[in-house]
Amino acid sequence: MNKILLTAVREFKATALTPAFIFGAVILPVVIWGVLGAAGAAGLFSQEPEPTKGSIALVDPTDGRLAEFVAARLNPEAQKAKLEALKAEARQRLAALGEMGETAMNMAESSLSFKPAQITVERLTPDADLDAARERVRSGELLALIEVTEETLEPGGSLTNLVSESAKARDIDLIEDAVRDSVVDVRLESAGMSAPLVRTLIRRPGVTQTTLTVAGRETAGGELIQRFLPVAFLVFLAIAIFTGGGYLLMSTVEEKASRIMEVLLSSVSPMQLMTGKIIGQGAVGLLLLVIYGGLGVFAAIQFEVWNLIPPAILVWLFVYFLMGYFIFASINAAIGSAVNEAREAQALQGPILGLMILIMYLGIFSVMFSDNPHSTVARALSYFPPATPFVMSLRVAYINDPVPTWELAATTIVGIAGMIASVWAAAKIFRVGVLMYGQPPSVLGLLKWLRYS
Amino acid sequence: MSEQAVVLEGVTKTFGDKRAVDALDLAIPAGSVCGYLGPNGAGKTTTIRMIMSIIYPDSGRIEVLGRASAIESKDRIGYLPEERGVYRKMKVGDFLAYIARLKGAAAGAALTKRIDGWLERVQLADVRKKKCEQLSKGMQQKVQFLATVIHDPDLVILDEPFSGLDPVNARLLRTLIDEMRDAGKTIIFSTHVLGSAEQLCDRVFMINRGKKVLDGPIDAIRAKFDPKTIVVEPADTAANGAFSGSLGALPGVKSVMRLGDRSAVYEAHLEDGTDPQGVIGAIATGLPVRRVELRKATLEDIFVSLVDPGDSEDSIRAALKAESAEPVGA
Repeated sequence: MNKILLTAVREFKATALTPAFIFGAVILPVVIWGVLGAAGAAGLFSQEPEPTKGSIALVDPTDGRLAEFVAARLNPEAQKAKLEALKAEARQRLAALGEMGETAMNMAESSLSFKPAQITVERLTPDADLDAARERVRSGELLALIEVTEETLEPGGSLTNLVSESAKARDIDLIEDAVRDSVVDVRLESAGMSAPLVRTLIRRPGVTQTTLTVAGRETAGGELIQRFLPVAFLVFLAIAIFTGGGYLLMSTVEEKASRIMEVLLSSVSPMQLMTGKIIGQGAVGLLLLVIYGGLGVFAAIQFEVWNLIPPAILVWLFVYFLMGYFIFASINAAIGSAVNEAREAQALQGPILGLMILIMYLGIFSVMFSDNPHSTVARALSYFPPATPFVMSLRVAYINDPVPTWELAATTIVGIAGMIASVWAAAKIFRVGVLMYGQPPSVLGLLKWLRYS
Repeated sequence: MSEQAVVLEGVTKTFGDKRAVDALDLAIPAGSVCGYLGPNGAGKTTTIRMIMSIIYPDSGRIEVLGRASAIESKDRIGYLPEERGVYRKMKVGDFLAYIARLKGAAAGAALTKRIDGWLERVQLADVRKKKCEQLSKGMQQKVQFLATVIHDPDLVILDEPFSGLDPVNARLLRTLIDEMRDAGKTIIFSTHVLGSAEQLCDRVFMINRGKKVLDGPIDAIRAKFDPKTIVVEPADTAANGAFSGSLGALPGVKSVMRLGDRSAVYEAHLEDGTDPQGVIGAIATGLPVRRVELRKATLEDIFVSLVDPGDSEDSIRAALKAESAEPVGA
């Protein structure tokens, strides 16, 4: 046991205490978040361009009402009022997310510094010289020439907008919105209705959603957690499993390439060596899980949704990490032992990894696309060990639609059996592979080694 | 310690259709320096790996340092494999400490002191904090050797230790082996450098095509292989042609060969069953000579006489090519 531990500690130190790892896995994410956060705080992402000053020409088939409406909507005060209305609606929607939504809204508001555009409207009658107006658009004197006809004012009608090359997209959106809304206003007035009244009446009511937890507490943000948690689980799990397993492959290949294997095997058995390496790199994966998972927990606490995550599913996350990691790491240890250099490892790993990822994605899609943790494919793949950790980690994260206890137990037993079988098979291959130099075997050749004692 | 450091009884190992080691019996006395000879592909590395319990025999019994297998006495064995290396990114001191600890040595000041002592002994005192990859090939070879002996083993097994060594390092290695012998260690080494084996070994054993063909103390082996060559240096180095003819005409002399074009020394090869003392007497009395001596059989003579050209590595490799995907000890 002591030798396994010694091997594991060396493996961990050789991977996690290197400048490359510390930089790549710890410092870089912190720096990226830090830079993004600092840039956001400094308003670098919300620097508004100088507001546009310009005119548009509007072909108005009415007696000037349309041009009046458009001018009123493009008025800087009206632009501000429209933004406030949008904010109010967003605030109402985000209120459903509780504290988290409020924080998001405050962040969004603080990064918005709105400066309204100053756009004047030049009314043209339908019989005006449109060619001259087009030339003025072409030369940039006008931002746009908008043609509204009698047909436009009919239900289902449309309008044309000729815009200058130099016009900004956001200004064009602003202009088009103003004209289209004004056309609707004209239609409403023609029908004898009050446009502001109708617009107020058709605004839908907001929803405030609250989740009643078993603990009897009422918390907002339940829907968000339901959507976010499965994805977060999967990402954390995949990063930890694939990174740890990848390091294991590379370190095994390196030990073979540097001809250190047989020196080690004179002190430890192949099983001890492989177990030590798997544990050491598992600790690296776990470290990543703790770093990134820790950030997730921190965020959850910040947004006050932490109490919505049952502690039991964090235990399951750990269980599925171990299961997935041991299966993936065993395969990598076997591959690493059989080859002489990294390129050969990639060639041999390709088909095996491809098949695993295919199965994994099938499992993930079966849950996420149907948004149903109990779909037939998802349930079936839960009993296929390479897919078990990924599919089950998604399924348990659906906290409002829990997996039955018997199914949790059965899939865990199958997963652990698969884990033991893969470690056993890898140990057999590892034992033959570590002493083998020369042409690496094919996948089938690798399986043949299982027969050797 | 048991009287025998290593005992093999009827050990057989087969890879696919190839019998790498065939019913091998061996007893290596404790405290001896034993050379393990054989052409490439004879089964030497397979035997050594079985002694080390890195691979296991299909049948037969192995006893190492009085235990049923090397697993039980791994920490008392130092092993330098033919395929050897170092952790390139590790510092020399850390690497040696790690290997020593894998062999059961306790971490601490005593181990550090031992590592420093050994590094000084092989003139590498200033590299303890350097990464292994920063060392020259010769320095790395020394570090590999230190990794074999750093835990003060009772049994040291060296697989082709002289391979790739420059003459200076080869001499250093011979000195270290001598010192370990004086300290009562048992040393087994496989080698193709027969001169080194001749200088160092108390005894040798040799296998060919997986079977033992030679085993015993080196003097007894030399005595067993009857000397059949007499070295003669004529008194008059000018009369070469006549001297050679007279030497060849003596009864019992099969052929005469001059040792190099510019040499005045001749080798007289005797017919089987000829008494060399009688021929020496005939030369001394009948020919004008400065020196006559019975040449001792060298390990090289014995090696070549026991191995057919067909046993060389090329023919064996060709036979094994079909099984290249299977582990075959060289």
